[in-house]
Amino acid sequence: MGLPEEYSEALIVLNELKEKEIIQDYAIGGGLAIIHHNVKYASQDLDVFAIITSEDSFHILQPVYKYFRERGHKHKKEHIYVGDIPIQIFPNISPLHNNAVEEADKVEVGGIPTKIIGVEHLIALSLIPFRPTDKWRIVQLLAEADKERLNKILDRFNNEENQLHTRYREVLASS
Amino acid sequence: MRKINYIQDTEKFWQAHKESRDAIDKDFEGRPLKEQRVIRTKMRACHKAMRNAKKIA
Repeated sequence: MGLPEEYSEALIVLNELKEKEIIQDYAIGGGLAIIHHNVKYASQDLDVFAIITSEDSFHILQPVYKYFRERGHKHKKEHIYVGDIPIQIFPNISPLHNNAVEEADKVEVGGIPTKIIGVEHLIALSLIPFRPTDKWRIVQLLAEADKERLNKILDRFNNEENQLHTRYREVLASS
Repeated sequence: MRKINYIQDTEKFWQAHKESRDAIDKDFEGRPLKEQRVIRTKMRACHKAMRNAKKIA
């Protein structure tokens, strides 16, 4: 079995959204991105980080939901369902998230071009919530990471609110 | 004018995300075992495709 039809359809629709400039860019994040980087992980849904420009800050995702509905897919709470596969789209969470989308790895999955968040950005993003599961994830991902690139990302997005370097050092010390 | 509007209330945003994800888990657990098996098979196939994704640039 190759890439199941539902996931292919989701990627095709996401690429159409980009072509039609309903979204500016997107990349696969969450569990599927972690799996792509050779870490064992359980993931049912497809998490997508997106850069979306809009005039209205309250209904950013409405045009996206509308487009999926027009393609015959359901929308329930924060998730879109393509068949029985849930998808969640995260728009403009933070400048770090948007940078992760911009610099994501360009790949082909099941013959469909798409982008997947890079391993260094996945580590940086996990340093924000910094729960025990995030720390575990960081340790697993570090083996695949380019440390110089990671440090450049941490330098750029480290601030009072997100003490990325301090947290990173904490993970290194405990691993 | 169109611009990037960042999420203002991230705490509320992640809470809504968590509730929605919990609803997905509950929905999955409530499905007949046969359907759960079908979904799991698709998930495994997707995971394999993700691991084998080829860089194109």
